Amino acid sequence: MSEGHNFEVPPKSHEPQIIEIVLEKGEIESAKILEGYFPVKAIKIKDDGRALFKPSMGEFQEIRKKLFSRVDLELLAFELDKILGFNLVPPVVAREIGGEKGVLQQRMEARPYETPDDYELPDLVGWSDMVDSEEILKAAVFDHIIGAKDRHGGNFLIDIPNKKIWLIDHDYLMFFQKVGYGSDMVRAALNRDMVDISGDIRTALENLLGAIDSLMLKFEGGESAKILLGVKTRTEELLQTNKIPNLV
Amino acid sequence: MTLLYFVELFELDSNANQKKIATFKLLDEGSGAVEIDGNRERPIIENIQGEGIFDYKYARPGKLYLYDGMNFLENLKYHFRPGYLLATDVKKQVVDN
Repeated sequence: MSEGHNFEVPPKSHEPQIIEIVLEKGEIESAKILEGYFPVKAIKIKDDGRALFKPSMGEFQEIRKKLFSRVDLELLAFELDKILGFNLVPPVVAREIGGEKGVLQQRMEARPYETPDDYELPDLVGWSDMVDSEEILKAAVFDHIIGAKDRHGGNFLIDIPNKKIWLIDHDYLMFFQKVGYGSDMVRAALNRDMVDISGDIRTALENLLGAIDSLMLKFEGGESAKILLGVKTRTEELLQTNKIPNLV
Repeated sequence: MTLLYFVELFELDSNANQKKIATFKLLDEGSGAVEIDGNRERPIIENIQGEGIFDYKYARPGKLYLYDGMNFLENLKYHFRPGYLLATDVKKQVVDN
């Protein structure tokens, strides 16, 4: 398989898919430490693909003295997305690489919301003009129910040929800052007056609500439990009001 | 002797190579605004100039902008952290007057 086309779009099933198995068990061919404050590694998996590895512990000790587990938060976001069937969070697994525990996430053929030089786009085209409206609405619903506090241009990706959004970096800062940035996804949906929940999205939310108790067992305790309680409350509210509220 | 404080911002390309897309610079801690070397019109750079960034370190209300100097510089590494875009910690070097 050629690099860059190694993964298919994840199917909408709750069962582990081939991508996840490759991420979990694939032979690591190379690991390159990237330059930057956070110790992210670009990983090449033999024959089957590429990923980013982020160690779990100690990243935010400067701003939060207590350690926390990044693994649970990233996996939880992926699990919620799978149940919803939104296909917004790139596949991610827990894995130990080079003696470090962390998360290994598929590296997508997408970029932060820059305008790639390969595409001739008119001036004043923003990122939200480059993706399908349905993607914006799904991403806004996702961010609203998880209570995203830090969704900005640095932690979502745009796949321009497929008009698709990928949401990344579901770490401590995304969930637990006392005062947050909020979500560019929610702002974009509000700006376009795309706030009504119906049809497939309503069904997805009902499915999530039906699965939330088993998720609470799977991710019991600590930070994940707090997030899931919030998800449950906000999902119930959305199903009652059928509208993303304007909290911006 | 003058100290230059700076943060570099890297973008990851499809071959897993990093390319520096901007350097945020501050001459002398505690005074002046951060300056940007790089294409200021790139959406990601334009956005943080206009929209600012969150104060992750101290979680103070409001946002930080270039004119906030060192506070802005110190928080860039938290704003750009996923790997596709990655900022360094604040580095410093001595420059001649």
